[in-house]
Amino acid sequence: MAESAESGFKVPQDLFYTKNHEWARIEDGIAVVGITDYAQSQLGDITYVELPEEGDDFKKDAVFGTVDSLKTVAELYAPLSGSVVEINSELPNNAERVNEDPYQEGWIIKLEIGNESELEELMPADQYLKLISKLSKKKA
Amino acid sequence: MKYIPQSEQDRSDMLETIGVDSIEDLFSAIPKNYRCPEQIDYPQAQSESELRDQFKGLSDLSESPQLSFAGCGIYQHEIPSIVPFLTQRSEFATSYTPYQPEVSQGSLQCIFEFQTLACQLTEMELSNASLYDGATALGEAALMALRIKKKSKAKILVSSALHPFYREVLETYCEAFLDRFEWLPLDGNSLDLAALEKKIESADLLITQSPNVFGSIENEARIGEIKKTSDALWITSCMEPFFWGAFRGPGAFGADIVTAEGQSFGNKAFLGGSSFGIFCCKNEFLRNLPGRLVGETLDQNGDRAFTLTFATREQFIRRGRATSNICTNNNLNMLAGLIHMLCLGRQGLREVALQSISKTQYLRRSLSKISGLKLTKDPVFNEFCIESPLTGDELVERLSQEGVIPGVSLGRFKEEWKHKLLIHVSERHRLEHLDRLCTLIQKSL
Amino acid sequence: MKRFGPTVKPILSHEEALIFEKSKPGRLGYSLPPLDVPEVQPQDLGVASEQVRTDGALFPEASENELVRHFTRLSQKNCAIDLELYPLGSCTMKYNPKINEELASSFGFGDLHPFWPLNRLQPALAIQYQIQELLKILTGLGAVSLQPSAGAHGEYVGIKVMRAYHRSKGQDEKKTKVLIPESAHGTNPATCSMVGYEIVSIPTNEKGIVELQDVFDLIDDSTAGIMMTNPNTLGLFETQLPQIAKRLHEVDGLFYMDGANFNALLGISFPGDLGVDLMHINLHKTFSTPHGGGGPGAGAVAVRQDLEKFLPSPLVGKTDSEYFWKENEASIGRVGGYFGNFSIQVRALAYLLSIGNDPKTKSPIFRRISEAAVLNANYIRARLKDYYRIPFDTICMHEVLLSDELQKSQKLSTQDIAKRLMDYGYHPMTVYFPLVVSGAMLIEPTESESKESIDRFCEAMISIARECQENPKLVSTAPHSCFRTRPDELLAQKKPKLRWLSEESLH
Repeated sequence: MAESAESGFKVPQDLFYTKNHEWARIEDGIAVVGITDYAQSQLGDITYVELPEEGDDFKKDAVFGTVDSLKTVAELYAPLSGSVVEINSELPNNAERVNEDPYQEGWIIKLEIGNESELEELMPADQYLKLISKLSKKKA
Repeated sequence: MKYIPQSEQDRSDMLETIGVDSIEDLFSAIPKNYRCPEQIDYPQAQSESELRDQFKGLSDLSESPQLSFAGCGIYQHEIPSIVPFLTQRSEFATSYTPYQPEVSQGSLQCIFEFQTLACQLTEMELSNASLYDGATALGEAALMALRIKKKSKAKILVSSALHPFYREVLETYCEAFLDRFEWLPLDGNSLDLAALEKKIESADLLITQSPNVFGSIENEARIGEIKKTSDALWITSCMEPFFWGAFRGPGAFGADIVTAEGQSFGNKAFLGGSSFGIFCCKNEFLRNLPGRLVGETLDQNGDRAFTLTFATREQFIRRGRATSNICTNNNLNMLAGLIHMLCLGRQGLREVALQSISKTQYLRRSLSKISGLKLTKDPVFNEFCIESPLTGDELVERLSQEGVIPGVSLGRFKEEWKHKLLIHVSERHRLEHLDRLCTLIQKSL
Repeated sequence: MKRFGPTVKPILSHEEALIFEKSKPGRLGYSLPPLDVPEVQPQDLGVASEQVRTDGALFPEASENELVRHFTRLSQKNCAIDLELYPLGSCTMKYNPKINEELASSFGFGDLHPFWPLNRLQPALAIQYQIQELLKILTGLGAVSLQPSAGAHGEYVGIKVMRAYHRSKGQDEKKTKVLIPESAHGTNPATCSMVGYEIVSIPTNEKGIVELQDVFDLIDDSTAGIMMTNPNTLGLFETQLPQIAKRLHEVDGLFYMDGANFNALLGISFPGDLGVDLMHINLHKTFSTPHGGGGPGAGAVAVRQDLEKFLPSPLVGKTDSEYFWKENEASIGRVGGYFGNFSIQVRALAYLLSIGNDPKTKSPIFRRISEAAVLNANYIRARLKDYYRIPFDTICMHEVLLSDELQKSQKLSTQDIAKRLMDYGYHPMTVYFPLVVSGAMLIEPTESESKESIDRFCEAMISIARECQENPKLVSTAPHSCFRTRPDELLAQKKPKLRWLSEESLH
């Protein structure tokens, strides 16, 4: 698993990323979606995840839910167009999973991919690493 | 000007520190042609004694009645002397929203105590820190329920015996959903339960009020049973929370959201405002709740402390996606209500309710002996309707000349109600007041 | 208790149990005359038996004197304007004159019942009529509704009126967007959502205001209106407002001004002259009614004359001999239970009348209020600018915005500075708002503070700035002299306790 040299955030190689700090793992036409380690660390203690319903359709970049930390709310943007086939039903009662394990237990939704070609617009791990390194520097 | 402490010397010292020559320089961002003229046509400033004279003069424009039986949503009860005494304390009156818990534990604990009493009163699990009033609380409740039922297009069933002002506020708040509204018919002066039974299956929302605009107590036990046969969310409204001193809260019958006007507790009529709205719901709807919420926690030293909580629902964080735009709890009115409720305690709450019931029934019995008057048989709490050959307006006008306001003419709301007069009786009314009203009504017919 | 820094007397220090924990069966805090009619029980009324209640809602039981002590002690755990400067930006925590309170509790105003016949309500209508007239003068607009219960409620009325206007012109379908600066109060976007408008965000430029060209680029035929606070939430006057309004009117959009910061404009500039079509006024801010720990407030909405017909009914009208309720033909409908927060209106009128024209100089006292408020804010800016970063270091209006940028190197933030300010006896300023500035601290002193009072506050702020450099731990662990310190907000959400539960019900 890759790590950002400066910041120590986890950025797994096999995922796709968005500039809004969502990740997508592609498995047989299904995109598993969550937020990155960097995103969860910026938000701090996550207290709530507002989920869509199974069957909801989203266009790429549409807001599909929100993540609440103590004092902020972050909107979740669909990395790809598609239809929600599964939601992580553990999250409503265990929102801290997004903090603890953002890439596995803390996944948020699974999307049936509507348009494969949109994958090209997502960032590979290296590019995302650069983005967060830049952001971390700017912050410091 | 006695409210501005700066002296001439202060002003010039401050301007010097700022590094400008004159006050005028501080307003240089405002284009000259958009400035007010030097002289403005506005009344001359008044001193305290002039203000007293002027307000006395205003109050003299009308003569107060000696006796009033007006209710219909705003009720005059005995308010314990400690209520205004304590609520006027500077630390309560001149503080603001308790965003900073360390310096607001007083307000926070008061809200926590209020949330507890509101839950006890309504038999619900969750209460917010209060809203503006009973009518807007109902409007917010409907919006909240529609959020929960976001996908559905099903009917919104509303009792036709809802107070017309509440109905108007509800329609304003739910303007985008008006095509889904269906007004439930009445059987006499209360809800037609057979009709409700037929319609409930196709409904998303059920909105009822008890006691309703005619003063009638709805059969909430039965409504709750009917509601359970469907997926509808049930919102109740109540204008007179003293009702719950003698009757179960809607939570006991499965209500999902319970709203009420809080004015009866601790607040004078003041033309209907300011007062406070009670807003309770089931725990499962916590994330959808509008308004402020206080919770108990521990501070860094492990001591019990109170704090605003679940704030990410609110507009100052969630902005365009907030559960409401509300940024107020009518805290001082709520505090008055809290202190009044605590003065009463369980015994007083029940005693006021029993006195109200007893006096209302006494008046009803007396009026029922007057020929020409029609009284409905529905059970009532502290308010009831009579129908007379005269219109309600005529009755009010005739008795008003004797210094008595006999009630509220429902004709002010609807032409078809013009012969209905709604009479409110509380613990404030004495036997001789009730007898006097009876005599005057008899005389006027 | 270990004490740090300034020697502050430990006020706010009585431990006060919840009233539920102090309850004892049989205690009474009320007295009623004996029942003088035959007693009737609820079960005799013909209601379903399961509806009858006998437990008195299990309310706690306390004597009157215990209650007085309980609430007096609780009151002492609050900061208040009557105790000390209360610099909450955007909240206008000015002095609340006591004559307002006296008048509101006199002359039977509290007894006026909303459904008494009109000839019994003339005092109330006269008061409302006078407020309407005075607010028309101060805003330069043609009609006023007093029905909204608060500022956000006023916004709701304003944006509903905006929508009703477009509907009346048959253009509601295409007018779908409202432009709102990103620095806006959260109530603005929340209100637009409630009314069903799409929100378009206007960026803030490097001067802290909106850029004319940015707004022009965003205005098109789909623009229903603009909602802008002026002075804005950064404490700055939006100098381009008239040009924006002009451009907006070309596409038949309406300019809504959030009047939360009206305290800086009294007698300085009439919003109507600037091109504002409608606005709300927070009577509890600008016109001095007490904030009450979070309410009640009172909103008023002022609109251009031709928009009057959309306002909530009723307004108050006047003939030669009496005042009357005036129904509006095209009203957006009722937004509150009765006729607005009358108890607050009485107080506001007392203030409106006491700040009129000076009998000697004939110049308006209300202008001196705005001048003093602006002077105080700029004085704080001048005194603190060497110690805190001022993101927009220019002459400000009635409030000044600082940030924690200079303190970040010590790993200290706005939160820490705010908490430390409590040790100096002050309620903190508004923190982390507006959102466009990281670590924002918004300070609004109001006109009510003397130079000495502001000097003391500035010295506290300067002292904290020094502590941030010399003893950061002292600041990061503040407050040290409060009744409670940094309640655990995460715990409050993880294990929600939102009401008291008795031992029995817990087990």
